Amino acid sequence: MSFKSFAIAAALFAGMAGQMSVAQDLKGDVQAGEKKIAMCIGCHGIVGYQASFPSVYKVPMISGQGAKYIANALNAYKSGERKHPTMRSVALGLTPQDVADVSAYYELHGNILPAPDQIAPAPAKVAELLTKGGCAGCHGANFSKPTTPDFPKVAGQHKDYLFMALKSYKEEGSSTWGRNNAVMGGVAKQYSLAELKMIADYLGSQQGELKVVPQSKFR
Amino acid sequence: MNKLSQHWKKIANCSALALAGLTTSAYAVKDLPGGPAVNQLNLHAPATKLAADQASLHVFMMIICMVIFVVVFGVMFYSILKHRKSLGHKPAHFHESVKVEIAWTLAPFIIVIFMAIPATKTVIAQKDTSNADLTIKATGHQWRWGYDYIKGEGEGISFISSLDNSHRILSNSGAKGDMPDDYLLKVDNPLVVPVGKKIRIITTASDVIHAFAVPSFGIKQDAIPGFVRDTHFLAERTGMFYGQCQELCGKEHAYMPINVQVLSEADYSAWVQKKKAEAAPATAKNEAAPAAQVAQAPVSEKK
Repeated sequence: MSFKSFAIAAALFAGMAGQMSVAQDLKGDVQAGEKKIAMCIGCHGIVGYQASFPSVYKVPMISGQGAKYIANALNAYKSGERKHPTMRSVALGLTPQDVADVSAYYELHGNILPAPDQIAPAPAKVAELLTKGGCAGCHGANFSKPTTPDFPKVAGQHKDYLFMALKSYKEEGSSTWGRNNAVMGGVAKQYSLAELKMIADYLGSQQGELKVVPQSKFR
Repeated sequence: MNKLSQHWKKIANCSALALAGLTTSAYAVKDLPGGPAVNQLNLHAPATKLAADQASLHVFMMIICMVIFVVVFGVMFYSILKHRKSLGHKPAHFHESVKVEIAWTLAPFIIVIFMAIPATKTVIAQKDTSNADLTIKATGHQWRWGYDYIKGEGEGISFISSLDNSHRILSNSGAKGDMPDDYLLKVDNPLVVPVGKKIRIITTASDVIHAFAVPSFGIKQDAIPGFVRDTHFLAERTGMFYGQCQELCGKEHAYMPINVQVLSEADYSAWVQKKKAEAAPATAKNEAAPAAQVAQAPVSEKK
């Protein structure tokens, strides 16, 4: 067990070092970001909006998500580490500065209230699964305070999105979808789809800091 | 109540702005060659034989419609005026005239056939995508176009084409003041094709239905996720040509233009070389197996 956690920590470190070199020294400008989010709003700013590929699920809430994580995700779509045709096309159209600006904008978007430190205890079965994956070790005890800003807040995220995201880390060999991440790949592959579903349902039903903030109808 | 009145004020402001926009800035915009013209009423100036055929078909049908319109209404109004009851005319009383039945069945039938023959020729020519010199896959994404050069000179080139963000900002701020002629049609990476070559466009999409259309080329083809459709064009002159997504595809539907740049053959080859040179060092750096890439590159260059 201790070897496994050591391996995870090592992989984490390697992953972080790799990601840091991509977007370093770029300071996101919230004001500039506001001018570059027209396409983001088209899906992430519409309550209940569903993506249709590779199956139907709600697009993730990104208002209130950590800037560093949003930038990491966009860069992963750009590099092909995360595969999703629509998000790839969106990410490829953004310069590194655009990525930083958009990420900075969404971190502060909406009236974000801090999540409670204590969330409802997981049912025994789910608690066991969460311990097995060491989930809280990165995403935080309440799953809204990741240990480094590189990782996402997951509490309160759409359940079906969380399930799709976890499932995509298990996907190998598809040219159009799947996620390739040393850490999450290692974690997700130890679970069956049914177990991933239980984890997603639990995390999605907790109170978090993520929101969908629709665009005002009036300007 | 207070909020409601505020909203009304905003609506009033908006309509005032729209009116101001109509009266002041509209005059500054000039015609865009290959795109829309100011106060344009007719089809775009054709740049392919098919588009020219479509335009002449349009005129041909219009003339037939006008002739029928004039004849039918002419006879009708003549009869109403000259044979009215007050002049003492009596209506004819007859039923089941075989001659009239045959006449009004045959006349439209002949007219329809007369119209269908040239139209069918053009429709068949539109569908004939065989023997293309260059095959390009256009993928509709929400809300950008992705182009992959699949076969022919430039094979392997792949890029994403999206609206110039400065135009999106202009639109957001109400499109006031001097607008560029290519407003909402300017993209970062236009689709580049050679002049005088048959280009086959394969359309598909990654999320919802989009449609690839360039009016000057006379093409429009739905891009459907999970399906492959195709269309083709052979541009007869160089220049920039513009189109837009023509299937409502979500919030940014109006902001995913299609911009095709038609180059002379020599310029096109130079562009392909430039793109290949750009891609080569990038792939060597990014790909884990550069050997496979290098092995592929000379093959496509020989073509």
